[in-house]
Amino acid sequence: MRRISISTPKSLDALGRVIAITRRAKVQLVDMVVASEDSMYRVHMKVEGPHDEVQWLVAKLDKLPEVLRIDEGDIDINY
Amino acid sequence: MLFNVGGSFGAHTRDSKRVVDKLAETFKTYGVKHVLGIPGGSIMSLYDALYGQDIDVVLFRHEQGAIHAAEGYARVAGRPVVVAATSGPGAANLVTGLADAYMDSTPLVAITGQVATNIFGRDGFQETDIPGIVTPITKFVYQVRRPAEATAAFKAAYEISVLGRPGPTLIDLPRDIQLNAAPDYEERIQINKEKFIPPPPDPEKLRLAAKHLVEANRPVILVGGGVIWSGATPEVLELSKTLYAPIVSTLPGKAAVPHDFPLYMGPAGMHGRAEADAALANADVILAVGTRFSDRTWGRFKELQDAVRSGRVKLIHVDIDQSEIGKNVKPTVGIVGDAKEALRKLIDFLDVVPKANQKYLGWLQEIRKRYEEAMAKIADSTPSFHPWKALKALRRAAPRDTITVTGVGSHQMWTEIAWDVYEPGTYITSAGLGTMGFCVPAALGAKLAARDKPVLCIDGDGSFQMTMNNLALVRDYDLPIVVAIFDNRALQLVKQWQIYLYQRRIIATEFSQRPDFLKIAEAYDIDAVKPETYEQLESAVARALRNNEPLIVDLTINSEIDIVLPWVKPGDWLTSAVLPEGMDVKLVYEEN
Repeated sequence: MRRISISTPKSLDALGRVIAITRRAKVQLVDMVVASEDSMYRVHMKVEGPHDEVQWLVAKLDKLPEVLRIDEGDIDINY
Repeated sequence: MLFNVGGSFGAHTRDSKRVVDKLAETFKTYGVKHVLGIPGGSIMSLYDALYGQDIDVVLFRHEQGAIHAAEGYARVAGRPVVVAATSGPGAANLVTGLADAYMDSTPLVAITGQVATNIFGRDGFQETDIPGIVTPITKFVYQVRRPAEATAAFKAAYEISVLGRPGPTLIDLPRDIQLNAAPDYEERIQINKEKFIPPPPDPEKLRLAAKHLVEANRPVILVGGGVIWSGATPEVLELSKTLYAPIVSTLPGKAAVPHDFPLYMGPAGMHGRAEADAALANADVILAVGTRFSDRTWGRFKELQDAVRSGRVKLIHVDIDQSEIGKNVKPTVGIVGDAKEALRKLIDFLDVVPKANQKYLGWLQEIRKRYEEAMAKIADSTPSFHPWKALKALRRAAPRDTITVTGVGSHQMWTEIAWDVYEPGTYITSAGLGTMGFCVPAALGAKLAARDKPVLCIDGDGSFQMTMNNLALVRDYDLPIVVAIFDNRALQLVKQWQIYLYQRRIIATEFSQRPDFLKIAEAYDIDAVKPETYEQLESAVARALRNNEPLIVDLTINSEIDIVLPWVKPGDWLTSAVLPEGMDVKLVYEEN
């Protein structure tokens, strides 16, 4: 299982685009939390699937201009 | 409950500058010379702001026409044009073109009107959630909610459409926002567009790629549409000459290389050329540049994936879009960067001059020769027009710099195989999405971008009928294009699949003889011909292109003979291409 953390502007349109990409990934979205912070949304996902598919998702999310920051890592990081 | 439907419809007054007036000014600072589209209630203010401005408004007959024209324009001009449509149906009619532009990495900026913000979500007249609809098929979409965002949103949309890998963008502009007084400040749109600026290519990876290439016995260069956008044609040709590497292209990449370059084999794939399929399938090192590894080019990926995984084939993939590296096939070396810059540096790393594998190159040339001979024999024995031979006649008629646009269908696949492109960027087609109806409007857009160039639209009757209403613009705006309709009265490519894959159960693919295309031409005040010989075809088209006159050519093709070969059936590997009768060659190379 992998963790993907994203920062977007506080806009449901931006969030909608993140979800639109994620729903096309060949991974299982085990968990997703959206936290609101000042002018930003922090999106935290737990995904399960083949490494290449997780990388596909991260790369596609990173193509969105609204994704201001994206990190991917092991799941043992507490969020 | 009564809703205020969105403020006044007030036109521009001298004292007040509206948001739309400021937008029109911004268009000019970004070099926008044309706005294509159709006005309607929710976009009227923007059109009103263009009144008397030094921006040409081009009125289409359907929004799909406007957006395909924007694609044709961008591919010729190398920069985006603005498409403006009203809310609801106007916006929804742009969807196919946006998806098409997204698949083929074409920059354009769409601006859609929207109902006023106070009736959002109330199912107002012509309200539709266009940002929600186009989210997966745009590089950037933004709904303006505050007047001070409007010009910033347009600037972001324009810049993002051209930065890095090009693509379509859309700004949704509510009616009340358009009419608001323009603030004297601009609100920042929170985005990261710098991420689209390609990084410098990794020198260590380039060094490794160069090593693989000089050690190759049967190298091949696969070029995609990214080579055109990057302007990397000279580097591709230089690499090919240095490495004695044949060049193969994707369908969009077909326009990247002059076809009279001796080592160009043509496009590979479902309806690619046999020698191109062979060059890809038998290569030991593949340098793929600006391509997304479409199933349409490869048939299936298993053979390539296995060969790369085992080390039998070294795959070098250069692309400006990081997300394309390893998406379908994990390369041996993946290089993110601009194609021109990466290839220039790659050339610098080639410190050894390899020897040409003459035997292998000769084998590829022999496949080409055998195909041409087989097709000539088939075409000569066909009593009516044969598409392959008709394209030869059209090519003779068209000057070398003719911009050729196609529709989608069997005629398009014939052009993939048999249409020679001489100048980079002069072949425009809907490759990724395969959008029927693309040809006429995209050709109009191409002509708008380059009035001094001849523009030839090679269309099919099915494709033509989907957007032929836009022919009105030929006279309205003096856009003299030549349209050659390969008229087989069928959705021929689907019919071909029915014949071969569905045991000839022909259903819903054969048209009646209606309409009469000559009468359609007459209705739009365009000359038309129905040639009976190849000579008549060639002379009519040559004359029209030479004199910059519009012409519609109704070329009768017998559907029964219109079987496009070679054909790699869906899901098959390249070497199992079905070849035309009389072409008895294997596409697997034997060293001894």
